[in-house]
Amino acid sequence: MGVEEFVVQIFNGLVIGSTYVLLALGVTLIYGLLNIINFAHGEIFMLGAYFAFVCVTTWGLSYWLSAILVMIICAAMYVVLDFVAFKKVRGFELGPLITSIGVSIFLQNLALIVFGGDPRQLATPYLDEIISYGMLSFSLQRFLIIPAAIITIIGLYVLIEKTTIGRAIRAVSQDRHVASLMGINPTLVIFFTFAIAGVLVAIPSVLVSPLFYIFPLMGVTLTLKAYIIVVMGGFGNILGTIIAGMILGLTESMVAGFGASRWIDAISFLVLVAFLLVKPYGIISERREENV
Amino acid sequence: MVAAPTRWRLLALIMLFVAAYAFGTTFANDYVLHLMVLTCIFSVLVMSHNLVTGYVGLFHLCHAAFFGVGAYVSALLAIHLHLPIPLTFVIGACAAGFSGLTVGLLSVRLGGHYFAIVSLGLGVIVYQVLNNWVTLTAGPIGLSGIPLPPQIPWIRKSIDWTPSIFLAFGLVLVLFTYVVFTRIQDSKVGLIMKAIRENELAAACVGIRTNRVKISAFTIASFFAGAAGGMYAHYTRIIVPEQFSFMASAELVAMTVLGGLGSFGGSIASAAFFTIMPEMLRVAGQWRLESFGALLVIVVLFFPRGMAGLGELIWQGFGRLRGRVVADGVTKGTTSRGVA
Repeated sequence: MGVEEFVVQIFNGLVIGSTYVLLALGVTLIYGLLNIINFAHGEIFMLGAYFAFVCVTTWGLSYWLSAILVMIICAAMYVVLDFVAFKKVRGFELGPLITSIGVSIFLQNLALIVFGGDPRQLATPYLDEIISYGMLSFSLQRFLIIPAAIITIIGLYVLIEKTTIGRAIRAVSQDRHVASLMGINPTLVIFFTFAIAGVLVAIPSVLVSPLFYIFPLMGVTLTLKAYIIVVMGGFGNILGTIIAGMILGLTESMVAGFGASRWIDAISFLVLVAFLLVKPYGIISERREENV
Repeated sequence: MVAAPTRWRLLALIMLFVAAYAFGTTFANDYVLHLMVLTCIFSVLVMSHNLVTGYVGLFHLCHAAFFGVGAYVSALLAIHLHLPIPLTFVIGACAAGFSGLTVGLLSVRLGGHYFAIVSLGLGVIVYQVLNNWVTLTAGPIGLSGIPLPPQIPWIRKSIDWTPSIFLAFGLVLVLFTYVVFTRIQDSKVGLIMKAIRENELAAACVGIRTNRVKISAFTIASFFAGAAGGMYAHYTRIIVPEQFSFMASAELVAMTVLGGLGSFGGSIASAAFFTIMPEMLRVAGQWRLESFGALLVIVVLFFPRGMAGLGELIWQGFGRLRGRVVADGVTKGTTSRGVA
C-alpha cells in the first residue's frame, strides 16, 4: 500500500467512522436513559432513507428540505416505536430487545411490500461535485459526513450538558424516581429523548444513503455495526462511542484496502471480541452498581 | 411447571410420541409428514435455546450458528471424506458443542447486554465463514446432494431412510432431548441454573461458580443444536448459509419466547406452531412475515410467559373446576392446590 492509497484509506476510514458514530449516538442515548437494547434502529434508518428518496425523486423536493422532513418523520417513528414496543416492557431486561426484533422484522417486510426489493439510489446535487487535493479526489457528499458528525456531536454535547432539558435527561437516567420527585416529568423526558434519537438517526440516513443503495434489508448490518460500537465504547457512554466508531471505521477501511472487504463484518466483530477480552466493559466503563 | 410425577409424565410423553408417529405414518400425506419431521428438528433446537436463554437466563443470539456448524460439519464430512453418516452426525454435534464451549469461554463472563451483543457477533462470524469460504462451503450457493444415511439392517431386509423413518428418528431425538433437559432441570444443577437466572450475584455469593455452570449449559445446548443441524442436513439434503444467519437466530428467539421461557414443553409446542403457522398464513400472502413480527411483539407485550403460561392458565382453570366439584359434593372448604 503506497502513501497515497494509505491517505485515501484513512480518509475513507474517517468517513465510515463518522457514519458509524452518527448511527450509534441514538442507540447510546436511549441505552443511557432507559437501558433498552433497540434492534429496530437500523430499520428506522432504512425507512428514513426511503422517505428521503420519495421526497427527492417522487415529490421533487430539494435535498435539504427533504432532510428536515426526514428528521421529523424519524423522530415521529421513534416516538411511536417507544409507545408501541417499549413502554409496556421497560421494566424487564430483555423485553424491549425481543419486541424490537419483532418490530424490525415487521418493518423490513413492510418496506419490501411498499417499495419492492429493487435497490434505489437517492440523487443529491453534491454527489457529482468532486473535491481534488493533490492526488486525492472525492465527492463532496462523502466529505459532508465528517463536518456533519462533528456538528452533531457538539450539538448533542451542548444539549445534554448545558440545557435544562439535558439536565432533566441526565437526572432521569440517574434515577427516574428521584427525578420525578424533583418535579421532572419522566414521561416527557423519555418522549423527548426518543425524538432526539430519531433526529440523530435521520442525519446519517440522509447523508449516507446517496452513497449506497437503499434496500429493505440494509438496516440489519447497520444495527449490528451500531451495537459493535456501542458495546466497544461502553454502553451509554457518548465519548466512548465516538472513539469506538473511529476505531471501527479505520479498521474497516484498512481491511478493504487490503482487499478483504468480504470479511468486513466478521473482522469488525473479531475486533469487538478481542477488545472485550482486554476491557470487558468497553473503552469507558459504565457506572456499575450491583445489589443483591 | 405442573407438578406431575416424572415417570408418569415420561410415559404420557412416550404415548403421545407413539401416537404422533402412528398419525404421521398412516393418516398424514407426504407434506404433513415433512412438516412433522421439521417440527421435530426445530423442537430440539428451540428446547436447547431455551436451556440457555430461558433456564440460565443468558440471552444469546447465535443459536442458529451452532445449528449451522452441526449441519455443515456433518454434511462436509459425509460429502468429502465419505465417512459413515452416524459418525458424521456425532462429530457434527460435538463440533457444535465445542464451538459452544469456545463461545462460552469467550463471552460468558460479560454481563447481560454485553453477552447478547457478543454472542450475536460470534454468530455473524460463523455465518460469514460459511458464506465466504467458498472453496470449502461452496459459499452462498450452499451444499447440495448431501448423502442420506446408510440403510438400516433389519431382519432379512434393510430399511431405507424414508421420511417416516426420519420422523421416528426425530421423535426419538426430541424425546431424548426432553428427558435430558428435564433431568438437568430437576437436578441440583438445575436448581443452580435457576438461582443464576433469578439473581446471579446472590448465587455467586453463596459459593456457586456461576461461570462454570453457564459455560456447561451453553456447551450442552449447542451440542443439541448441532445434533438438530446434522439431522436437518441429512434430511433436507441441501443447506445454504442463509438458514443460519442472524435473522434465523432472531426467529429462534421468537420461537423460544412464544413457547415460554424456561418451559421445554412450551418449546415443543411453539416449534410445531412456527412450522405449521407459515402454512396457515399462506392466506396472508406477502403479509406473512409481517404477521410474524407483529405476533412476536404482541406475545411479549400481552403474554410474556408464552404458550406455557397459557397452558398453565388452562390447567389451573381445570384444577379450579375440579376443586369446586369436590368442594360442593364432598367436603366444603377444600381449596384447589395452587399451581406454582
